[in-house]
Amino acid sequence: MRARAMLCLGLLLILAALLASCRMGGETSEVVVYTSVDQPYSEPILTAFEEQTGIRVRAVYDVEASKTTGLVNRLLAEASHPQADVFWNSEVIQTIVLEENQVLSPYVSPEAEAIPPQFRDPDGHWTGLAGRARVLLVNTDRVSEPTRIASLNDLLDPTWPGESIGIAYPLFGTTATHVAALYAERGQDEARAFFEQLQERGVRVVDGNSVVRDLVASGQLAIGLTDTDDACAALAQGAPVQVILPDQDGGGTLIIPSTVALVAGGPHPEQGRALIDYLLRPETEQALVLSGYCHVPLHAAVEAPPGCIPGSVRGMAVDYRQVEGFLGQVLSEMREVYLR
Amino acid sequence: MITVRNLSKSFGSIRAVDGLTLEIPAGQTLVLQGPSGSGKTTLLRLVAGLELPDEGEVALAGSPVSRPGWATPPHSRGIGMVFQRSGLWPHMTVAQNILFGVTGITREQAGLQLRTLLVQAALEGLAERFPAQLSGGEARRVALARALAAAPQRLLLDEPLTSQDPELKSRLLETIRGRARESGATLVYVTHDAAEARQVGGRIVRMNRGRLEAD
Amino acid sequence: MNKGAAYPSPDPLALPRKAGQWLALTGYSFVVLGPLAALLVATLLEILGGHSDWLELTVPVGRRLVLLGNSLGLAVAVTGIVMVQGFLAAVAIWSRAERAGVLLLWLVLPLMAIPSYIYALTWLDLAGVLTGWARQLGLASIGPFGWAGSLWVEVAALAPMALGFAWLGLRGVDPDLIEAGRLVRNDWIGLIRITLPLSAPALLTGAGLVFLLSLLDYSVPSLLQANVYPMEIFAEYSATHSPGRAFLLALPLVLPAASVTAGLLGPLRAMTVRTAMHRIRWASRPSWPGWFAGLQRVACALVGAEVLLPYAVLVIRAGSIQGLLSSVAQAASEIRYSLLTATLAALMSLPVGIAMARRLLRPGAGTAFLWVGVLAPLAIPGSLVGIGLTYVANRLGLQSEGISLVLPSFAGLARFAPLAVLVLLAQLKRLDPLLFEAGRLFQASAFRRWLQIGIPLLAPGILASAGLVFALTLGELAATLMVAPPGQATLTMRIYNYLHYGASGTVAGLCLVLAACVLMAGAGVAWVAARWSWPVSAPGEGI
Repeated sequence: MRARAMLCLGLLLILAALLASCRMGGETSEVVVYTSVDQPYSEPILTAFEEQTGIRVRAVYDVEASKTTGLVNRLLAEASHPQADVFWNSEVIQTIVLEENQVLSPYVSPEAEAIPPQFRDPDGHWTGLAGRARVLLVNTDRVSEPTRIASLNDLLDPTWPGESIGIAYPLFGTTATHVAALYAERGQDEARAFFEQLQERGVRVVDGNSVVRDLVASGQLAIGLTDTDDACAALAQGAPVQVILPDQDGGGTLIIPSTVALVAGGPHPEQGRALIDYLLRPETEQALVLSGYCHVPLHAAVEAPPGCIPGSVRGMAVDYRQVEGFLGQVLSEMREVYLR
Repeated sequence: MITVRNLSKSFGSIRAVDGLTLEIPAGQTLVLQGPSGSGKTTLLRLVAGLELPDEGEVALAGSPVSRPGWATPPHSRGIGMVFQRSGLWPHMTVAQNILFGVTGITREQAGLQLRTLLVQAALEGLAERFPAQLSGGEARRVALARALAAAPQRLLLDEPLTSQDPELKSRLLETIRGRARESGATLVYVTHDAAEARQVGGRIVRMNRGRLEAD
Repeated sequence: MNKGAAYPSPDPLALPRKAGQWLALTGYSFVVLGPLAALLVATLLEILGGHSDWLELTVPVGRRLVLLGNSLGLAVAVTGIVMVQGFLAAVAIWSRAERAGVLLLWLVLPLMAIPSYIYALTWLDLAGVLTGWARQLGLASIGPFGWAGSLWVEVAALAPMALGFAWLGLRGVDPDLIEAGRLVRNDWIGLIRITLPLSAPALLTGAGLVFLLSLLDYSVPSLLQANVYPMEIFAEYSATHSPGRAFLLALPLVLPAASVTAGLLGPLRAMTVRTAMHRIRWASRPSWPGWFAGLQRVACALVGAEVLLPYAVLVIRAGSIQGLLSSVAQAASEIRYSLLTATLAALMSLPVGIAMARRLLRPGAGTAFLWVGVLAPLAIPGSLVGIGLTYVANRLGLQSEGISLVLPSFAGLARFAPLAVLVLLAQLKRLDPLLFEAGRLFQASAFRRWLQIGIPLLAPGILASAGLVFALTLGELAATLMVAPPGQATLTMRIYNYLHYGASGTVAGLCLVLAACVLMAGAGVAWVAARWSWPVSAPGEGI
């Protein structure tokens, strides 16, 4: 008797739970977006889009542990039956990978005209927004003259012990992009030698840019290579750090734009285009600036946030497609250097 | 000598042993009879140090060994015991089970001891078997041989001859009495069987509801 | 449980019941083994389609051999240390403070649901504090990096599991056997020659599972800069986006893992026979040699530190009750979705688990293959399971909103149904067939026999296996990441997202929520099980 009652209760519970979570009809207009822009930054933007347009947003956020790979591989795996409409990536190289795998559909948004051509795909497969820069984060308690560090090459300076410097694994995300950009800018031999020397110096290689930030902020590292959103967040939280734009007098600092792209064969293409238009507006970039995600806005009309880095950033002159071309070689060589 | 004074033990609301006083002189035999649930097994476990009394005392050779909240370790009491369930170690052979408690002798002496017990307990040819390969009766005889092997000063046997046929019972009883006599051990023997109780000999005591009835 | 009557059953539900069993078995094969089989087929097709050079990935040479050695070495070291530590601590609790020990275990065991990555970050947090103090004292900085750090953190993360299995082993030894030994030899000899051999199946099972978890994990070593083979698999997958290449690269790791799971077969079978839990009442506390008692104290201190420090760091980082409540409010939909996913996975694991367990009870040639089907999934990294599920879902066009909503439950089922099978098998083996035969004498309806006899007797196993699948699914990330539907995320996904954002207070609060969910599930299971379990004698006992 008791068993029967428990069984029935269990069945009712499942049913109730399922019904509670199922969305039964109602909304007919929705858009599915896969985004590797951190949820705390991207979610408010998407919520605002929902409120303004009435189009329900179903988002898949990436997690740091998968380092953008998760979403890209998911999009590739779903290529024959796409679930997503829009891919909003926190960087550009993996977007180009998707383009080459014909996962993306060209769409030139009217809002894209305000974006400099360097940050747009000529064929319209993707458009950049909300740039981040690759910067050096320096702990001012451990480094008395942070301004002495002005270039990536300073990471090879014996003044700074190797184990006091940290980078994220150069196999994923923006760090891998940075390595590939250096391959494009300096030449593959010189770039590879640079990273080999870093490894020989015993530089700390950690799990992600946020870990670099945390270790520098806590003083466990003196210098770290990371992105502006991480670096400036540490500064905003009152950590004893200073942000350095490397190579402003040399080759320039690498700027990595976020990118938006329309997924080929997505279930809601019209809504997807509407979302892309929304994301490319200067107001959206301004919101990303205010939230602390973006420190290198691409719209001329959007002002850079004060306090973290100088108003103008001299960016590295790179062709992102060329950078992407080096990626396979970079990943293979960096595995040989750093995974052993 | 085994002495229990005002011994009591409860399990929840059940008073298994109730104010029991008993003295068994050294080298003597006591047969404990009584219905199921009368407290016989609990009494043996209290003497062996496997239960703590709630009240009263257990003493061996005049020295207290158990009081409420305190007991000397079982292995220091010189006791050989056959449990109500055989309690054979499944990962040890018959030989290993029997010789487990035998220490301080040479390997040859242990071998001789083993062979003697195997014959006396009708376990010839079973030395290398594991408990899972024995019948119920064989397992019981192994438990008996194990209790006798170390020539303990005190033997506590809880229905040791269960599952034995009558002919074998007589033979085993003779073995038990003989070994007890040889070592001068004090023997406490629990049985339901009145005929078996008379065969064991010695003093017969009845227990009921945790108390002694007749002597 | 007996196979069935020799005569046709009068029960009209007999045929549908058999069909149900087949459905459950098929469900197990499809959900648990299907993704892996699909990956294997996809990989074979790729190789036959002109990628035969991929086969070189299956041979670890050069750098990959070193990485494989690193992984195996770390796993062996972690296993050895954590099992010895767990056994010593379990002996201390078992022989000194049994009641307190049970309470302690309820505090410790839910930590199994906390991802090991969190342990690493907790220890990094602690290292930061210690580094600050060290610097103030003019000492060298303290950081848990490298192999030592990875070893320490993995031992800490796996300590609850090791302690649990050691406890299970000790509790599984019949007190009569221990008491029989105590009569004639001292407690140390009794421990070595009686208790330890009889606990061995549980200890070996625990060691095997700890080894697998350590071998297949990359999150902790990568965070602490120890390079291991699973990292190579992940790097390959991210570089080439090819599940086939990742699968082939995973094989050199899967093979030793599979060997260990095959080795688990014997101890698991023995353990499932001997899993009656005995509570021993010590009339006199065991007396250990001084050095052994000292080792126990050290082990208890270590386990205490490994368990309490993460809780303490999480509580401190969570800040205030308001902070904790705010974290809960923010993550309300993730908590809801996680509970739904875990509940569904737990409920789905029952029919498939019972069907598989009942099938495993029947001897025969097919049983060996079934055991492979049960143990093999334990050797596969979670990310590959997720890849396989996605592959199957895409090929079969299973992308409706309803189905994608439950895919994470299938991910939990795929990963943890084998454990449910093992727990249910243990329970089935404990049951005396006489109880079911008596039921057949007095009750004609098989359905009512199942409802009135089978389920109540199986209840502890049902609850334990459901609770286990629930807890593990709550903390699962690798496979869930690949299949979570748009618009939904689990609690673990939010924790990882916030890790990157650096909101350590929120992360700590959410980790405490995760632990609390597991604690409550465990307490609920224990409470219901206590009211539903009856002492049952194993076959052959009760002379």
